[in-house]
Amino acid sequence: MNNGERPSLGSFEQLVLTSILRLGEGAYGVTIHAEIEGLAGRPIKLGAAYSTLDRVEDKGLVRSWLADPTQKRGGRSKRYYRLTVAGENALKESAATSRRILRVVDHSWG
Amino acid sequence: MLRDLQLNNEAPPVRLDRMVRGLLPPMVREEVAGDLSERFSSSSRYFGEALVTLPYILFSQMRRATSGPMLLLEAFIVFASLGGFQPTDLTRGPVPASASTAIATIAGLVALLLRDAYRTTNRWTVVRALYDLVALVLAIMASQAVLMALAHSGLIDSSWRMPGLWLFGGMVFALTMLFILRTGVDLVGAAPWLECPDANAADLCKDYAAFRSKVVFKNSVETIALTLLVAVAFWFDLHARPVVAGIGFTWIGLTLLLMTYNLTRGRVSPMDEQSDIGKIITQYRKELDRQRRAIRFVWWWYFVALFAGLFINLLIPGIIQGRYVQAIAGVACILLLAYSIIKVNKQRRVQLADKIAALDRIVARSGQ
Repeated sequence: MNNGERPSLGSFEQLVLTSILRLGEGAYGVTIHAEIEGLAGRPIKLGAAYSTLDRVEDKGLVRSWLADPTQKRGGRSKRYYRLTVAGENALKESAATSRRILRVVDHSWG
Repeated sequence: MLRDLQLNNEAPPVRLDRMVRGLLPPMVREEVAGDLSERFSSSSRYFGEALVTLPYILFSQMRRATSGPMLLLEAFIVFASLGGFQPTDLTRGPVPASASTAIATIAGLVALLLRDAYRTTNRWTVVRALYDLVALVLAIMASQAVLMALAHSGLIDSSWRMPGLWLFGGMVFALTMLFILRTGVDLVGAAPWLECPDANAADLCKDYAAFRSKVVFKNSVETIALTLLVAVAFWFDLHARPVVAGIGFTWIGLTLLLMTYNLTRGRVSPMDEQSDIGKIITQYRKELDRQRRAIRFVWWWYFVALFAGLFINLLIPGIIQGRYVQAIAGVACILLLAYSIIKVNKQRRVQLADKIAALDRIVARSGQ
């Protein structure tokens, strides 16, 4: 995030950040992808989740780290994700916008 | 929602797993291979998912490793060096030089992008730059071999293939410029320890020494590159029209002055390790600032000849001969080239500015 600008979130980025928020300590590739599919209500490509995770990390909205390898998964490490303060703020802002949109839609269409 | 997640304890076959790991970029191999293996249910599904996931990962890694302006600048360097902007009356056969050069340039850029995606480090090291250039050469040679085979079998005209001498000369030029571009990116490097509250004078001197040796290396490479540019420009000016030769020889004279400056005053002065931290930071800051100005200037200077070539070969003939598409292409190329130089320069200046800001924070902390 440059020059203190507030990044605006795309709809898929909102899904990714919401998934990380919901998963808390257990947010890594497989669980985030499953959570995104649940939230979106449709199948999502695993690769799409990875590329968005990279993008939101580059924007400074999440941070990631490799955990120690365990016996599961062929002894390979998991990359865990957590929201940064900037990520939390961006998600709050985008949720507030969604609420305003929802109010207008409810009002217009009943 | 996680209740729907069916995780399997089976593991993919060793050979298949090894193949998938080989396809994954090293920077994300560990976690992605682990995730894919965790989702394993059958060999075909595992391999299919790996193949579908791979393009996303490759594009993401390319985006992280390089930038649009940097790629554009590399495209200009390769295309111009291989003669893509040469006047149409110099082209041989029915195929314009720009078309045959475009194929070689695209092949070279794809190789560079793949090298970026499969990088093993985020740092722009000399070894990494050398491998990048080897990949570029191999890709260009492969593209020419394919064109040669197609021409030999009569499917395309032989003028699609670039002449060997032109290709060789152009590649020497392009490789030199790309080497400078790729090794000059990381002049200061990351120094997270500067943010530690106990950063001391000895650490700072060590970091300054690393910066100093990088500048020495950068200046040496730039001197070699400028010598090559001068030699090529001298040969070109001897064969050029008087007006062009006049401009060319002026450029050579000014470039020699720049080289003299680089060799005499371009160096970073040594640090007195006995100095207190305040003096060390002041000197470090001053040198970083000086390098920031030098970088901004040198990159414009490198492309003076290319700007001139775009004016002479594309823009002016396009206007004079009423070929407006060519003239518009000339203006677009000039603007794009200027944009890429500004952006790449900005990326480097931001790195140096970040370092200066880190030094300022040390001063602020020590004053508290």
